Amino acid sequence: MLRFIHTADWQIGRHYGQFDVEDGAVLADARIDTVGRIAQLAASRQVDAVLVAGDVFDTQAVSDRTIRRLFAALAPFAGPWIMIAGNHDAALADSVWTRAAQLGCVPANVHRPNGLLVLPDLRAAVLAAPLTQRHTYDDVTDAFDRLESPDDHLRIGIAHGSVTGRLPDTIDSTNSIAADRASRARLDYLALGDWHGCLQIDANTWYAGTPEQDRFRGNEPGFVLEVAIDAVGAVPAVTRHQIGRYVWSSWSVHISVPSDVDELAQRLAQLGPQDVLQIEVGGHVNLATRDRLDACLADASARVRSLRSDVTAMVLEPDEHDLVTLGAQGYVSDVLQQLRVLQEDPAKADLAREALGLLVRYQRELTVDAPAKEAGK
Amino acid sequence: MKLDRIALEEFRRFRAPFALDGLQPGLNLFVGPNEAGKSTIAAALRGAFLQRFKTSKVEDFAPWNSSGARPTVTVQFRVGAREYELRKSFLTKARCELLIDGGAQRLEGEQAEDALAELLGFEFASKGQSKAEHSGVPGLLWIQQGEGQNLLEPAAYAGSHLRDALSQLSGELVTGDSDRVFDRAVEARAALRDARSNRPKGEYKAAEDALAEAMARQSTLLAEKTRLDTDVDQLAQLRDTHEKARQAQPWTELEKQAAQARDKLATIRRDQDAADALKRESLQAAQTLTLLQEQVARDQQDEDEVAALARELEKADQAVTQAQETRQRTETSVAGRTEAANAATALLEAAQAESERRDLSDQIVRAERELGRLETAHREAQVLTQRIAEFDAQVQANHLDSAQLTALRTGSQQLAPLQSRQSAGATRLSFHLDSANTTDVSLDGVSLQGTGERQLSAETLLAIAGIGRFQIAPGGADLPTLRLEIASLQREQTLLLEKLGVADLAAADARAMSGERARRDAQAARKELAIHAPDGLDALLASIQENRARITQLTARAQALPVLAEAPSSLSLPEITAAQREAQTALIHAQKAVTQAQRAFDQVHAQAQLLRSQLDARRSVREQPSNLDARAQRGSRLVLARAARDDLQSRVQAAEAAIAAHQPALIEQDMKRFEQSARIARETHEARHASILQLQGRLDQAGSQGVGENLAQAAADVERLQRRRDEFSRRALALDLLVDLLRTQRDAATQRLQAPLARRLNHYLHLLFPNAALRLDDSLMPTGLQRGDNEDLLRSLSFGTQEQLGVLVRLAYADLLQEAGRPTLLILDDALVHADESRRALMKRALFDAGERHQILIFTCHGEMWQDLAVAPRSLG
Repeated sequence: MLRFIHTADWQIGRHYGQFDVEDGAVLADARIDTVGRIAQLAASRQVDAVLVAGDVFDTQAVSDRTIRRLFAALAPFAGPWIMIAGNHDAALADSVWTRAAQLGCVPANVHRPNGLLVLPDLRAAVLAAPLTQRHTYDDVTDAFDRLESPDDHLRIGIAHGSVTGRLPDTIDSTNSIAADRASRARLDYLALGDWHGCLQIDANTWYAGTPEQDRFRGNEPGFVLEVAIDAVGAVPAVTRHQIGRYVWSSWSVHISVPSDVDELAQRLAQLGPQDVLQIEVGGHVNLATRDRLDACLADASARVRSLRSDVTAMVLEPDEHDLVTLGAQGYVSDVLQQLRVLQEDPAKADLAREALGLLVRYQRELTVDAPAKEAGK
Repeated sequence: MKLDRIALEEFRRFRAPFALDGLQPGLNLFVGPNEAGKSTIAAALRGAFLQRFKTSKVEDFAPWNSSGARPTVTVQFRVGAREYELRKSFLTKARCELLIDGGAQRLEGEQAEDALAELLGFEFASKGQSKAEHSGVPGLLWIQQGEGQNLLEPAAYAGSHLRDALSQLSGELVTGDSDRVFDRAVEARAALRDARSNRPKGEYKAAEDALAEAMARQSTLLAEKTRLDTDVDQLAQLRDTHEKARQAQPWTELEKQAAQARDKLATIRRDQDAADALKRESLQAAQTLTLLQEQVARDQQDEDEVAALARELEKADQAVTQAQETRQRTETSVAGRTEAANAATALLEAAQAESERRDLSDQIVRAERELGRLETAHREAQVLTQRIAEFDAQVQANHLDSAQLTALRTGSQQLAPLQSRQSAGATRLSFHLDSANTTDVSLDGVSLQGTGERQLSAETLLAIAGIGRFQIAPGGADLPTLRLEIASLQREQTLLLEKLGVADLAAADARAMSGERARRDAQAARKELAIHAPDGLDALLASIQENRARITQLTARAQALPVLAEAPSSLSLPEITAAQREAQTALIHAQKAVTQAQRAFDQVHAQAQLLRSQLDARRSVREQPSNLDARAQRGSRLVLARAARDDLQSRVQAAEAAIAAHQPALIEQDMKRFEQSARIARETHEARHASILQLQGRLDQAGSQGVGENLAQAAADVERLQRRRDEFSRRALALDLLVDLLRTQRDAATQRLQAPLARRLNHYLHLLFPNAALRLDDSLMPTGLQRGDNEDLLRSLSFGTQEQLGVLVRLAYADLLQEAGRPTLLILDDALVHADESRRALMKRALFDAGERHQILIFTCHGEMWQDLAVAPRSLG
């Protein structure tokens, strides 16, 4: 009976330009925190080993501090960490790995096998295929077929790449891995990395996915896999552990009637500090609706980790009541009308929407703020 | 609005109550001199309406030097159908009271004042004295003294009232709010864009700059990263190559090959040394052989030389014999020739003697003839010589000194006239004596005889013996002088004659003549002598002697000549001479031939002797036994040496061929090639190792800087900043659009709003300037006067024109306000004083026209100017 954690694609050193500086920094830090939680999970689950199937680092030249932090985060689990290099942190002649070795911060229980690694205590043989080039057009797991291991040892493969013809939306020809590698190489389990979602390829082959989500495309990230194999040839029992802190969502909302805003507000109300939301709002709204929308977006952004909203596509359609409230007179009301019409002109719609928003704001400053001032007086 | 009555009390110059009543609708003209109180009335009106009654800042309302005054103004007026009475007292017990419709409504204090402000269109200052900016419509329409041209400020202070009136008339909504929105939009746009260049500024620019900076940083980092990647790839490749080289060690094989080549080369060198030794030996053998060959050749040469000598000797002997024969033959020839020559000589000598003899006898004949001639000449010469001596003697005898002679002649010539004068003057004494006794008569002692005549030029004593003596004195006065001169001349004559040795002049002449003849004769004789004896007599005599001696000599020579024995030859002397010479020449030739033959003989004989001795010497050496042996030995040694040399040569060739077959040059090249290749392989290996270390170092350094992470950070920055920049860009473009739209609409609205005002303005303006127009700005202020294509700014016009336009524009504003139902009252305090007559006429037309609609109060000190205003002037003061 062998039990281990399978994880991959930590992408340490990643930076997020789509967020504010502060949010970006928090999300980047979160990746190392997640590694710490994986170590704690491994310790609490008392697994035999942790396998990291590549892309530990997001880029080769990460700062020394980041390297040190990452390896420090492994501390809670004292068992063997078996890591391979992926395409982002390929084991080149000079790489983040050689750097880490120079820094002397790699704990002794971290193994970076290339080829066969026999673990007699665990009665297991690890067949590792780290990437040594940025891109390779050969199937680096091909060698697994010919690697011999002790008969009574489990054969555990670990590799980084795309399984040919099995991944949605990918036609990557680089770093390809044969879909039937596990059976061909008589592997009891093939731990894969590269695909950021948690994905089972066959009974013995899994992508663990990235443990901490790093993009809005949702394909079930945020997990690590706990794998238990009873004996040679037995089907592995795989358990998914939710480990990621942040949940990245991308919403596209269309407001056609005022009540749509209420519905959106309800959805937003369910979000919490673990959420990273990207929201694009379109549709036609009157001023009151728009105000409510802005209010509930502002409310949500205060609660979630990060909220990126894009309302530029929204068409403002002040109704009669709005116009009365605005109290626009004279030529301003003419311009208001002109901009409303221009919103329908595809060539100018975007700017017209923005301009209308501004005009409404200025007019409101006048009609809403001025009486307020007078009242204050 | 129409004022009916104005009453003042304790107001400035009006200490006592004063009232203006019966005011007309339309024009009212008040005429009065300066200080009559026109301005006081105007000021009182302003004070009543525009000043707070409570204000303490109106001390000037009180009469001069009066304390506790209570300036009071009462104005009765009507607006529309309503009648008002305003009573305002200042300073002391200040008070304000407004009665409407005869007390139907009564307002007091500030309430009254605020109602007035509302009614007439002005504001009060929150505290203190009323200020121009609060005076609103009255401030505009009540023109104070000298303020007619000042339009813009009062018009601006009345702006809101005017705009309200215009809004009302045009139906255009109030634009004030719109303008604030417009200003806000312009301001927002100005915050993002530079007004002139339209370029981003402020936050927008900061965002753009930050983006550009981030992009530059990103591209720098990207380049750095790309270089690092390249370096890493290169490092991998270098390491791979290095490892392969380390294992393969290509230089080892090369070094081995080099060593092999070196060994082979060493072997070849040894062979070469052996071959060289052989070659040296072969060379020595060849030298020996050459030596022997030379010796043998020398032997042969000796032999040949001896034989040649023998042959030469034989030839020489032959030559000797031949020379001997030649000598004998020539000697015989000489003997014959000698005889012939002697004969010819004898013959010649005889012929020569004969010829000489004839020649000598000819010479003797010629000499004797010459001698004869010479002797004749000698005789002639002797005679001539004698004669010459005689002539010379004659010449000598008759010689006279020519100077003396000349003096004599001169004296004689001088004497003659003197004497003739003496004789002419002298006393002529003729006598004829009978006595023959000479002593009987004497004259001055000189006896006279016979007949004669005497001329007496001096006292003369004639003594006649026995008779006595007669002293005769000539009568001429000059006679004594003449006598003295004559006597002097005669003395000189006598002296000269004595010197010359002659008696008188004739004798002297005769002697001179004789001397000259003898000289000429002597000369002729000498010439003749020169012919006979050109060289003198002695030379002639010597020639004679010479000739004689020569004849003697010639004779002797002729006698000495041999006498010919035989008859003289028939041949001529030249022929004989030629024959003799030929014979002589033949002899000489023969003698020369003998000498030559002898010499030739001697020569060949001597040569033959020499040759013979040489030959003998050679032969004797050659025939020595030791020499004969040596020669024989040399022959056999030569054969042996040749064989030895041939053998060595073939051995050398064989050895060299063997070496050449190994191609030592190629092997040497191989060796160098392999050595160099090995060295290069090692150096390349080492250099690669150095490159690896260098690259490694660079990568270590770069690694510590975290370029990849920095690049990711930079890319994130770029993404974020781009978003921000795009937001600003979108905002700026939207503002462009918004401001554009607002401005267009605002312009249109303004134009609509201004239409009624423009209409009224043009109504009045055309009275003054037909076809002109006033341009209005956004705030309804006139800014420029357009006439034809020109536009003049208002403030650039003349003061008078500005004042006139100021009044006209106010009239238009008044029309506008009235149309909008506002009360209007126009006051002109001493206005239009700067207008010329024609302009004033036009202005009167405008005022008259306005008076149809408004009440107008005109205060002036020039009543005569306003006579034609169809209104009776009222006098003040």
